[in-house]
Amino acid sequence: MRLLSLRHHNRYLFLLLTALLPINATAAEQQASINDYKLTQLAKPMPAPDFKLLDMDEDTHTLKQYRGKVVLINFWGTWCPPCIREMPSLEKLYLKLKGKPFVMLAINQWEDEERVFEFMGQLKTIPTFPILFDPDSKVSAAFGVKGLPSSYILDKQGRVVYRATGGRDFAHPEIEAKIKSLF
Amino acid sequence: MTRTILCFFSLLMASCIAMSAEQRSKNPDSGPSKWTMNEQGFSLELVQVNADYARAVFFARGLPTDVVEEISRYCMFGTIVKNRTKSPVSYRLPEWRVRTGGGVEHKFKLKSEWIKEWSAKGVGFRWLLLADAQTFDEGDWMQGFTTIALKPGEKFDLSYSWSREGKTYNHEIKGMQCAPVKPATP
Repeated sequence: MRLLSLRHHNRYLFLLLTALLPINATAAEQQASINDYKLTQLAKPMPAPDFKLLDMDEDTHTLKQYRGKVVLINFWGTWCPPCIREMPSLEKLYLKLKGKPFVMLAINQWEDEERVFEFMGQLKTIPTFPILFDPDSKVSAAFGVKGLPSSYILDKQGRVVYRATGGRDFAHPEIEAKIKSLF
Repeated sequence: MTRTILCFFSLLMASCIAMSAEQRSKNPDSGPSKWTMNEQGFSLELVQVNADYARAVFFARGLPTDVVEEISRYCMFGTIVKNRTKSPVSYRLPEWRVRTGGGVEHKFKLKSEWIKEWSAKGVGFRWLLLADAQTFDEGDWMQGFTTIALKPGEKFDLSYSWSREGKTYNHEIKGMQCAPVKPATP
């Protein structure tokens, strides 16, 4: 992609911006609002669009391969402060539900492995769940994502049951309980 | 630049703090002003974004120079919209109006309009800008840039609306201002 070459000219700015994000995350965690754990339950579960994306290790993930498990899909970008703020809570939830029929997929928008890898090094809490790449934003478009972050929780049949527009505290017991109710 | 970015993020973070109906604040170091409204459970926050910051943010996304230069010429605000009620709240940016001196009305340049222009140039980027219209359920919120074709430092009144449970609410913020041109440092 011709645009990618331009990105290398901005390494300094990128590092500057990403270096500031942990500061933001700490302050934001202290200012968590009362509704930041609320999820919208769809009146009728909707089949989620299938996808085939690569992760940081260039392994392929399809949504279909996770049928039979509850899936949390999080759309995010390194430039998006609320995406970064909710990342530690996603990791906390992921670790808490490890071993359960649960999968977490963080689908990065527009960026490449090099940028995201560099960014991860700046985080206080490095995610251990799979980071997938949606470089042309086709998967987010198929989900109808209008802004970042946006998250979707799918039941074992691959249907969207819950969604959240904007950042959330995914470590909140209410969210954990909602996910467990789908096991 | 570092100070500008720090101050901008600080202003955005402050949005989580409980708000009264209308507030205006100004960062004494970097200068960006912020307008905060909380009416009928609809929360709106607008933070001035100067051209240098806009240029840096869009350029860092790898967008072509002509695209970056074009959008950084616009009057830009970091905009946060939140639903603070239990029932769905909707906004429609195409219905919002800006009134400058002499009562001249302006519309926002919408995300869909930018995306159309970028697509024609082969640029598939569709982030950073606030969506044209959205419905937020309980706990939902979103932030993004909004743009108006006004000059740096230009003053205006903003008329905006939102709807909840079939009722449309209107509000006006008087005396808003686009980010001024950053003064040259000696």
